[in-house]
Amino acid sequence: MRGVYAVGAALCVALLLLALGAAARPLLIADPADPAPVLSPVEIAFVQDMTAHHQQALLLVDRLPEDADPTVRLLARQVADTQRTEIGMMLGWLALARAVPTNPEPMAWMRASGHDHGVARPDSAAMPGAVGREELDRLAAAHGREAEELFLRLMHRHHLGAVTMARAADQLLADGPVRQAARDMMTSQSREAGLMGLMLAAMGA
Amino acid sequence: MTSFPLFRNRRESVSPESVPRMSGLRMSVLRLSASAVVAVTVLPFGGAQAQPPGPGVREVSAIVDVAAARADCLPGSAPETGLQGDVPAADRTSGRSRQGYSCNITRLGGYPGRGGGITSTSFEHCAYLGTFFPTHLLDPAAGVQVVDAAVPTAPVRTGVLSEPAMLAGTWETLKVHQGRKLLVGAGVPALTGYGLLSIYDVSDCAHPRLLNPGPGTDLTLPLPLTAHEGGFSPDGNTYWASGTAPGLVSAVDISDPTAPRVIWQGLPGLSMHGMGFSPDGTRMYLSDNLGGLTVLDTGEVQRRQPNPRVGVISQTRWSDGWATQHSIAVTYGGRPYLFTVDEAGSGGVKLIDVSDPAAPRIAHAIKLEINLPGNQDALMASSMGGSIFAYDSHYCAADRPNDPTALACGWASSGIRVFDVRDPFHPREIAYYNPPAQADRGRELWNSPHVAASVIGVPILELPTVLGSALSGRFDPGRALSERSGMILGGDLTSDWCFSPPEWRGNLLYVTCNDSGFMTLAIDPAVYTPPADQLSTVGS
Repeated sequence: MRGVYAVGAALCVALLLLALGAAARPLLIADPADPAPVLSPVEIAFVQDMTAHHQQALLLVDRLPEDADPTVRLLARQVADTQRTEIGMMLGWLALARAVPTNPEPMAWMRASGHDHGVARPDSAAMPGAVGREELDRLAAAHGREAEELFLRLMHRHHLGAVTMARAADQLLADGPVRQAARDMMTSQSREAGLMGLMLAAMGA
Repeated sequence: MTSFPLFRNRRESVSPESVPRMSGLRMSVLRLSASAVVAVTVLPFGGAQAQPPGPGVREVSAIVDVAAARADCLPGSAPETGLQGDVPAADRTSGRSRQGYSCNITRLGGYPGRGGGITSTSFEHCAYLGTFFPTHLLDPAAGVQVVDAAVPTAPVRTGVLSEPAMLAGTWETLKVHQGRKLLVGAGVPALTGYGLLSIYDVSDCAHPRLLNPGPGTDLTLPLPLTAHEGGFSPDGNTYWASGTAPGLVSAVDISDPTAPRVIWQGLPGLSMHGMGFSPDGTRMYLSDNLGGLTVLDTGEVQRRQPNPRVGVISQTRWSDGWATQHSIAVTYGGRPYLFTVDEAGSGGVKLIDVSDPAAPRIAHAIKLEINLPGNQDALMASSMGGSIFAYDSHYCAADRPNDPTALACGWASSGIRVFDVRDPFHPREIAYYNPPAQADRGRELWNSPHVAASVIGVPILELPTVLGSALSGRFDPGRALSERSGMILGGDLTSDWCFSPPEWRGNLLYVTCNDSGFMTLAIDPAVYTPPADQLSTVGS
């Protein structure tokens, strides 16, 4: 019995240290630095702004009341799952590119390229489809059909804004994982926006 | 890449206690563990190749290798028996640690209750003890205990706060704003909580009055926030809550404390901890749980701009300690510095020059001897069986924000440590108090996280630093072994964990430790004279 316990204890410690050793390795062993950039300045700026834009979708989902229609809640969950996964991917890219997670000059990359289609004033850092604090508060206070309709409208607008940003990035960037992600966001968020449009139409809104 | 000089340890090492013969079981455990560590650290998988750091991104690899000068203990003290900060294995075995250790500090009184939660706070002559979910609920009087210490030798409980946020466990959220006389705490049942936040008027400190019966307190009206830790903006109009999983940070407008309202939320990193603020509230010094400091521009929230943005000005990461806890913004000669506390990996309390918020510079760190890279073996010898934390700083308070003269810290198993920081580049310990270990009271300490965590014996939070010492050839396996080395699965409470900021009241300190609960301590006037403008400063 004591032997079984000993082996069990030994394995527990070994596994624990194995995990900690793996986690601590970067602290202990310097990997050779490679001066080649991981991401270009436009890629970094797009990823920073899109990370902020995705966070807005999570705030919207967070404010959707529990008593909303199950179909709307299902869609909201799908949106949150996708955006959260992509936020993780983008924060990972920024960490590898050794860039801070927010853009010091929000949306400047898009204004400079003339791809904002007049969405923002030249001096504005506003993102297309951005959700305001008052709108979030209104959604949090709403119930039933009013909440469902407001959620769908705000998320629809959010997604169309994301498509605008992703399309601009697609046109500015050469091939690579960031451009591929931008194209994927264009298609997936267009599809979700279309579904939201149908749901709004079905509600007679 | 920032660098600063590596300091040599000025102190002679103290010889370890004689090591008893190891049993076959212990040796096989150690051999297997050592092979696992070696195997992983030499495996040929590497970090991804990264480009040079962009603006504001900094990585610091230097390790501070000097301890604060030891205190001279005056007659009447019961000094430590080994390295500074250590509770040696022999003292734990012999029962010596149950008598505690003191140097130039006398305990006047206490309110042990059922333990002190994770962090507690205080205002005027009162203290508010944080709650630890779910075990504190075993107490028939569950909730945040309100303790009146007007008579320091005989603190008494004058009330219990039992709103949902207080019952759900307050973790590191319980804070007081001295100017607005507000007490705030958020419900954090399991590392991260959701929606619960209660605000109290503490004008009559012994009898807090709930101000927000609606949103945050009423279970049907949760606030859209997650919390693990929180703190006030300097003007007290914003309560900032931060989460560890994910690192969501929320700004709650409490200018009308009856109607708290979330006015900004963002995800500045994967896992965020406590914070500190510049005096004007436009810079947040946010702790990065991975070991580092993120400086945020909170100006738009501070100015209440509609739809505010909060940008990341800089991210500084270090390998000298991790699970960075909180920051206290101070000035020396008008130049802004932080005392930034690491709660794991022997990182100590860093002194960081933040005159350029885009490029914070680590100027020094306050450590104890037991924290030094060359003493990680001794740390392992005595802290096995002490559960997941060992001898780490956790929360500190300066005795004033400008040119502070002293810094008092809760230093987990090393107890309460007080430093002379008039010259912060050469800190000197002036007093300490490590309370008597409560080894016999485990079953009644329902509100002690130390008791709850003692299902594990290994000081997990120290292991990365221990490993670092091993790989740099500064770890003597013989010195790391003790009669406690086999205590893997259980802890024995042979030291306390002091996590709360010790708060200044003249020559008194209000402190709270996990097992000993609330205590009033008196610092010998021979080693500390309170400045006329003393103001206990925790940072948020």
